[in-house]
Amino acid sequence: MTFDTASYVRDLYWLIPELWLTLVGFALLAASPYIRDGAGRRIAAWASAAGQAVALVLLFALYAGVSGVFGPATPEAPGAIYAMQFAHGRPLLLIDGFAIVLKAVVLVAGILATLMGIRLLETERIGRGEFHAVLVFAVVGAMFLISSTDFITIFVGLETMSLSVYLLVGWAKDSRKSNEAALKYFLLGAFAGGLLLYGMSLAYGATGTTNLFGLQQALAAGTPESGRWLLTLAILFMVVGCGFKIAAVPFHVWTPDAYEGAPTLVTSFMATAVKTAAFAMALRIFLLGFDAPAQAAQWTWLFGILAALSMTVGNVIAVLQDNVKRMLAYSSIAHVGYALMGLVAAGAALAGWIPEPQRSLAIELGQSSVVLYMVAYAFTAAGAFAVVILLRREGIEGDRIDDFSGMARRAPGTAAVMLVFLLSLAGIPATAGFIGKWWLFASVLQGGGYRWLAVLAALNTAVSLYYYLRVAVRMYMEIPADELPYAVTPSLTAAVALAAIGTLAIGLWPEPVLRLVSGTAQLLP
Amino acid sequence: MEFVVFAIFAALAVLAAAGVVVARNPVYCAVALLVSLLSVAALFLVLWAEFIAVVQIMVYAGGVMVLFLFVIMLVDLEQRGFDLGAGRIGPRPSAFERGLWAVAALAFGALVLSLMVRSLDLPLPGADRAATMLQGPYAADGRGLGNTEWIGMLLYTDWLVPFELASVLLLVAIIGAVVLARRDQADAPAGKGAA
Amino acid sequence: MEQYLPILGMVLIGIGLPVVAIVFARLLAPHRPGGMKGDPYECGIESTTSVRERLSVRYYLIAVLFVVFDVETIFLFPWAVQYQVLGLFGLVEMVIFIAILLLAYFYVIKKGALKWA
Repeated sequence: MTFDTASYVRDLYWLIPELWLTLVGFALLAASPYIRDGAGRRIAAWASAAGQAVALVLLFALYAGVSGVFGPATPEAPGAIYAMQFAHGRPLLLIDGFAIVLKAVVLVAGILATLMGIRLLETERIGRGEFHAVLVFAVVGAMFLISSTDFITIFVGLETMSLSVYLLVGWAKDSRKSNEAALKYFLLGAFAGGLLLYGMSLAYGATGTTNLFGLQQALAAGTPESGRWLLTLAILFMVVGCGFKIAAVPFHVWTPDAYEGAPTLVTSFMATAVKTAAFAMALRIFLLGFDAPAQAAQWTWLFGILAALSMTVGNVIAVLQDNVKRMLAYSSIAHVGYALMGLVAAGAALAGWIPEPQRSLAIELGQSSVVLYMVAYAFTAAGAFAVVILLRREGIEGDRIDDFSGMARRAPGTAAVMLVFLLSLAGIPATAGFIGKWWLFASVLQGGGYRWLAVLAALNTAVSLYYYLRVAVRMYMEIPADELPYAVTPSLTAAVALAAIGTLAIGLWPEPVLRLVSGTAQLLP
Repeated sequence: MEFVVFAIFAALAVLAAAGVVVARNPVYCAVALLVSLLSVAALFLVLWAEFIAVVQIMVYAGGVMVLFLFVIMLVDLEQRGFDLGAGRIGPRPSAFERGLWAVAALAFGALVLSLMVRSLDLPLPGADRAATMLQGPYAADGRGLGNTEWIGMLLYTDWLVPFELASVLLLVAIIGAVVLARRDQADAPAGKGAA
Repeated sequence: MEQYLPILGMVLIGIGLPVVAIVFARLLAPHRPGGMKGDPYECGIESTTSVRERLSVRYYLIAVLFVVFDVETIFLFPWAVQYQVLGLFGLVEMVIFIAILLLAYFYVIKKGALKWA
């Protein structure tokens, strides 16, 4: 057997951002034993943020310049600008518009989390130097996961990301809440990983391939009677596994505790980067691997139920919360429900429930609306969590709704920005959340029997207004709860400002992002 | 012959697994788990997957088992009367809860059983492919390559990216162990000793 | 399957020897229980506390490190058998793989995680 080493080396060019970021992680890890004081830890944090920013620049500098939006299709993988690492003639990793945009989201989420947490890590006394190395490795895992088009690469990427995040959730090891959060997240996450793996093995048994393109071809060629039941179970297990990872109801039980107990910058990272990567995985598996009508019919209604449950349960329970982190956790569950509408719309089209003129539009719209929503939600949620960090001071936990009282009087600018984030979460026009929701509604309204989801989402948005505005009322209509100055630092201000600019820019001037996101719809042949 | 070996080790694996659940002394549980893991290794051999069998013995029966025994020794079992049942935390689950668990277990069992029944004796591309890989042109026959050679050939060429990423994964695991198990000076006022 | 018969033989001998030893000890040795005979002792000295002491959590670190490096050696086997074919390319790959874990080792040492005092 011979092999062409040059081709493997050539492939590395397409992984430069990941390779660079891995090196940054190594450097941070190697430096961590020598970091002993606050100044050293601050330098490590800024270095980590800078490293991620360089990766972001590399990502766009190297690939976005390719002709058109994201370049022409290659014969091996239609719609990809580059398909690499072939095993049995099929790509393991895909560098397409979808991957680049979502990797950018993950990097931005990582940068925001790093910046917003510099002071917090000191206040919580958990600023060990290796924190930033682990966060960077989580980003690396997420980036690989987003590019993966093979069960093997999906699983290794997913586990690299998940293991790092389990660790980050339990980073405050002297805090019982953090311990509990990490244990719950780890146990259920490991269980979900097992279910996903079981589903993958069943799919392999039925088709003889671990590759999503191979799966697609095998399903298009028709499966034997015996394989059909195997595939049904594979889809069932994978829907459950993905449901856990994206935190959809009824697989959400770990979410509130993990989000509340984790250090807030980790919560922000989980709600934005981890969720984005998990959605990318779900989209690749189901829209690429299981795109045959018979299979799409099966997973579409499963995700339809998850979507309906997630948005309803998430919003209703969020109303009852007095802890802002917990409220944002339930709100993020509700947002998963909204985002799943895009997947459901694409699935309904794949299943053949939408006639041809709208069919391809629904597939494209469904897929790109999920991507758009991830972009919009990342900025908004990260911003909201950053403001929560602002309230964490020596001796004050700062995560109760009461802590927001009188913010408008004490820090009018911050209160205004928080209002923007809240309105964006609720999906009010002129914010990113509105644009994201608009596309999701448009996709699900294409038809295919899931228009009722749009109605439900609209009702839920009304419910969600109540608890988002409850925070706004506290900020603007009540007297300050305490006199301790807010934990303002340059890095935290930068994170809040970045998130606010992102949220408003997408809301007021959506064309560039929409153009970018439209380019991601080439995932499907 | 093959079926006899399979039947013996499959039965042993299932019985030992049941022992893990039933035994009250955690050390017995660990030993039963060891028997179960070794039986599964034997099943891999029956399937001609020598490499996986060796991995099963080295990593699971060797490494993971050590981890289990260490954890058993880390936990203060004396206090709990060395009996898993006596150390229950929280209230006893109600009959309703236990009923729910039983229903869930039965449903899952039925699902897996239906899978076995419906795919028995029918052609499965995955199984066929595995069979050709292990017994056909890929099998060790004096001329061709054995299973370990094929894994080596594929893992270090086509699958090199996930392979290298796996080492980052292992790195994170080590960081996790150090961070969680060790108290460093930078931490909040430490108690006396790590125990 | 035949080539595994010797291994099966080894396993049977391994199980057989202690069984024989225990059975013969039962049969041959006089059996008079009671008194101090059942008490645990350490090198002839009476034990003062329970033998089942709780171990330090640091042993857990040792166990995890063992498992991780155990997994690493697993990756060496398929590479070693194909060393001739993979050549320099494979060597570079393996060096990178091991260098990453060497970094982990460096980190563990520098953190003083293996220091016992």
